[in-house]
Amino acid sequence: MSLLVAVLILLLLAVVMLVLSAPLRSARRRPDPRSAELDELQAAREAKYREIRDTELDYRTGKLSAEDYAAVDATLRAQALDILDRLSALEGEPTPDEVAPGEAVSEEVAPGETASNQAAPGEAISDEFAPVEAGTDELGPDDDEAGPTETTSPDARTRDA
Amino acid sequence: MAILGSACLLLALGVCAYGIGASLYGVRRGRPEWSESGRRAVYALAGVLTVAFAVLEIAFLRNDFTFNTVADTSSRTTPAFYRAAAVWSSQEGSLLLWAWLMSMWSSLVLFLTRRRMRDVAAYATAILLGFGGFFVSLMVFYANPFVTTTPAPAEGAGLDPLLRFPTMMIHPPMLYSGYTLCIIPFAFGMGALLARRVDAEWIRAIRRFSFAAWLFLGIGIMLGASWSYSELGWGGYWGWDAVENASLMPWLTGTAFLHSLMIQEKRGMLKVWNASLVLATGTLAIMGTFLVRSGILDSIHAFGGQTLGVPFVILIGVMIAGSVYLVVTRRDMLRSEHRLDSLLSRESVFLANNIVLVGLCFVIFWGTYFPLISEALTGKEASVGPPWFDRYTVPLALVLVLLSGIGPVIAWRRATLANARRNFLAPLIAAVASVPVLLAAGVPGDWKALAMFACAAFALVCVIQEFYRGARARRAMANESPPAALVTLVKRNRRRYGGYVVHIGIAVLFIGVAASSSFQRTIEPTLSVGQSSKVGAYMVRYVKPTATVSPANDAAHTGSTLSLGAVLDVTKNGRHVATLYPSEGFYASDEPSQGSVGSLIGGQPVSHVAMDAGLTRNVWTAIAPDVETPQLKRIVEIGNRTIPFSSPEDGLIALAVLARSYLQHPPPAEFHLIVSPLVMWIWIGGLIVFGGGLIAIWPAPSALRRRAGAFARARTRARGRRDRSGDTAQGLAGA
Amino acid sequence: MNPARKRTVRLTLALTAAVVLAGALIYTSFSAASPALTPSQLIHQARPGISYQLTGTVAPGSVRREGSTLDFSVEDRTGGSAVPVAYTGEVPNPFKEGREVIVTVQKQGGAYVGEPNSLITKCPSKYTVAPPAGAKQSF
Repeated sequence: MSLLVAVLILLLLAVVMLVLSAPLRSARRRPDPRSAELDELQAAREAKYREIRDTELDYRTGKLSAEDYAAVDATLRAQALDILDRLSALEGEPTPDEVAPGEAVSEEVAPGETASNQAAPGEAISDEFAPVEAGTDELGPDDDEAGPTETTSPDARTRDA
Repeated sequence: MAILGSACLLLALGVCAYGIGASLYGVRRGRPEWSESGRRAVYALAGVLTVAFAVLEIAFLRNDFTFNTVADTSSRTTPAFYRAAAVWSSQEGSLLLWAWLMSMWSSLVLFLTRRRMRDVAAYATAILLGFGGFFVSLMVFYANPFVTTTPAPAEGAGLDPLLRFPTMMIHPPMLYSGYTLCIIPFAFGMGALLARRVDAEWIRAIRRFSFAAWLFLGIGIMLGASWSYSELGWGGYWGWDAVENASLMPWLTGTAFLHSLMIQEKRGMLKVWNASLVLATGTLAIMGTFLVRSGILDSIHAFGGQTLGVPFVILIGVMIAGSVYLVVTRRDMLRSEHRLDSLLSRESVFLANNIVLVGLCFVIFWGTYFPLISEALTGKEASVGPPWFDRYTVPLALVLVLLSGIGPVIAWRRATLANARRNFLAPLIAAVASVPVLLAAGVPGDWKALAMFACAAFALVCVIQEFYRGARARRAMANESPPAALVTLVKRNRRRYGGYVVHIGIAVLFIGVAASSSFQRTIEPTLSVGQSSKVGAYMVRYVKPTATVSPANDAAHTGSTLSLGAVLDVTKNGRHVATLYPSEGFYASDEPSQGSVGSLIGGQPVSHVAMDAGLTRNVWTAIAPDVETPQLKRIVEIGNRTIPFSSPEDGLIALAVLARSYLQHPPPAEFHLIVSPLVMWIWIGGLIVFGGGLIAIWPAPSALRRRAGAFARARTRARGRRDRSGDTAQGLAGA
Repeated sequence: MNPARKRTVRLTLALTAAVVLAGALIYTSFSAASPALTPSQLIHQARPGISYQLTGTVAPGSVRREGSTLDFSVEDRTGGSAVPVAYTGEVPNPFKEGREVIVTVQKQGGAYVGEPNSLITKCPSKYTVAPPAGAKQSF
């Protein structure tokens, strides 16, 4: 067994020990005990947003009638609101009725988080398909050439970032 | 240097043991620094195994024949690329590859989840290290790649010529990546059950991992099929062989899982089912790994002595027992939150899809393990062949393709019946019309193929309709041009439309499979120079023989000592279509009993297929030249008598004489000629499937999400408030 | 019918269908299967007209090609009785003397005829664990 190999082995051993013991040696602050619930709520929120978008897409591509869509959409939005409320309670924030557009939302994407593969529904709702603002028309898929009447909602026409 | 490798294995074993202990201690006692240390053990394992792998690779590249495995599977005449890949052509090397890949993927996954799911991840770490420790133990105690022999032999045995194809060398790393990636969802599934946390976050993470597993495993399977078709001499891509089936089974359950996971995400249903699926996928992956190297089933690939079989059976037993135990004891938290709202919903189509996929898996499982089952039940070993498999998989495949069209067209939760009826009109017309149209176009009346074409037409129209409607809806709102609308539509809804692309790929793939299975024309004529043979609509003429001598001149770069082939002229209706050069390569063997010249060509011959690949059909040719005519055998005998073993270069001269004799007086040669329609579409379909998979899993840019997030919250809140105050319609009417 | 009962009925129907199909599958597998026999077993048990899966090694010196027919003998892996087989069809590349093969045969008269294209030759074993004999080993 040559000296070089012996040295290499010892070196490897030393590196491994260092790597393994690092967290034990350094003083780490205890992680936030609530962070697990926070992660969970954020994941649930994203999943709920995706559901809202999916349902709208189902409606837009002609799989749902307007009544069915309205019913499901309302249910989903109510559920989303529940999640948002629980999130706000966890974050200790007040829950205002309106949130000014452009407000920084740093918890939206935690650093190092693998981004979800869907854009948030807000973007979809505002960018992709304008909302069913003109509530009276039956917008079946075959006659949506005219499109809904454009609304005064300030963020209704946001374009691609 | 081999000592370094062995030391790495021992160190790896120690790291695994430590990591398991540290992770479990950390999570049970609530000491996160120990869990963190446990996680780092996985990184350390990856590092140590990388060193070990590098040692082995370098040994192969340097032709270090003191390493037994290098001497057994490589040689100086093996081309460099194959020498590098020969590392994993042996039992020991492939175990190292498996362990190394598992440690690398595990490290990546644990790094990505290092801030989340801490308790689940801690258990998963322990389980992953358990698997790592298992494979490292196999190497340390049964099959050590770093065993050496001194003095080293002068030359190695050489890489099996059957493996000297690029696809064959990429196939194991891809397949092993697929298998090892199946272990990761297994570990996280078990971890979630152990930590009693099966929730939205777990779903999001495990979907990613399962997708990666699905992708790599699928690529591995396709590469294997492609190798079988392009390089092996039988002209087929799937034979229902035990190891083919073993890799397909976890892929099927993985596909089922990816679909049913969506139901759990949306409706909180099917938790027991999903837990079972993810655990079954991991178990099937290990069973696949076990099957290839245990020799328990008679198959073309059944390698391995009995020594490795026992540890694997124990591991599989532990996996199954552990899975069942956890699912049963955690069934209270796996209770469904909702029930199926309606049979006319995407959820129920997904359920049907799951049933078909699991049914397919069961059929294949039964057929594959039947020799063992029949022996256990009746005392006599019996096996079923491809016709039995086809009988059950063909109808199931038809239903699967049909469902892949229905699913995209039905809404979640509860679809509106009137809308559904309207949406299925065009696809149904396409399906029904396709049969008479194809028959009129001259397609023979094979009911199985026609049924598949009809189902594929249905599915394709369904999916294309979805793209069209989506793009049209987008255009109407956002006023974009059609191509831009399509692009943004897909970009904004990657999972959905990526999935639709996968379905397109599947339909295309099955069209290729149906056509090439049902309408293939094959013939095996023996031709002399100048003779022709008709196959399908083509005429193939044996123009003249070809020959090359010595590895340096090997046109296929596989290191053959002698290669005999033919020039074939392919014509259709008198018009020249292609010139093909099939050949058979002969390789050196390590059997001195064959003689000095005989052993130069006594190794296993390998057929080099020549193919004219086209979009509508492939013309596939292979040759089995007769190298044992009396004249040629005489040349070999003279060479054996006059040329000593010590001068292989002179042996090559004898081969040159043999080659010249073959060229001057070519004996009739056996050919295998196949015309297969639409084979290309199988590979194209596969590419579309994987392209769609990549689209589906591609993350959206986070900046976009951050900005959008603000609006999302504002609008959702605003609307929700209004809904809550009771007026739904007004909520929709907006501000 | 109330929803709960509808669900139970559906579930029962589905399960019954599954059991019936599985039963059909299992039944046909036993009837469609061909027993796997070694040469010595084949000699004793073979009945004419039934397909058997013959597994064994190609006996050295037994391979002869006559026109489109390949004649060879299959012997037990452990040596011993050998069975002559007349085979037509696809011959896989790895086929040669000493290799392990699986071929479907039927007894016809006194001879064993191989079913066309049923010959499988096992890839030469790469995964043996035993070290080469007679060489000095160092760890």
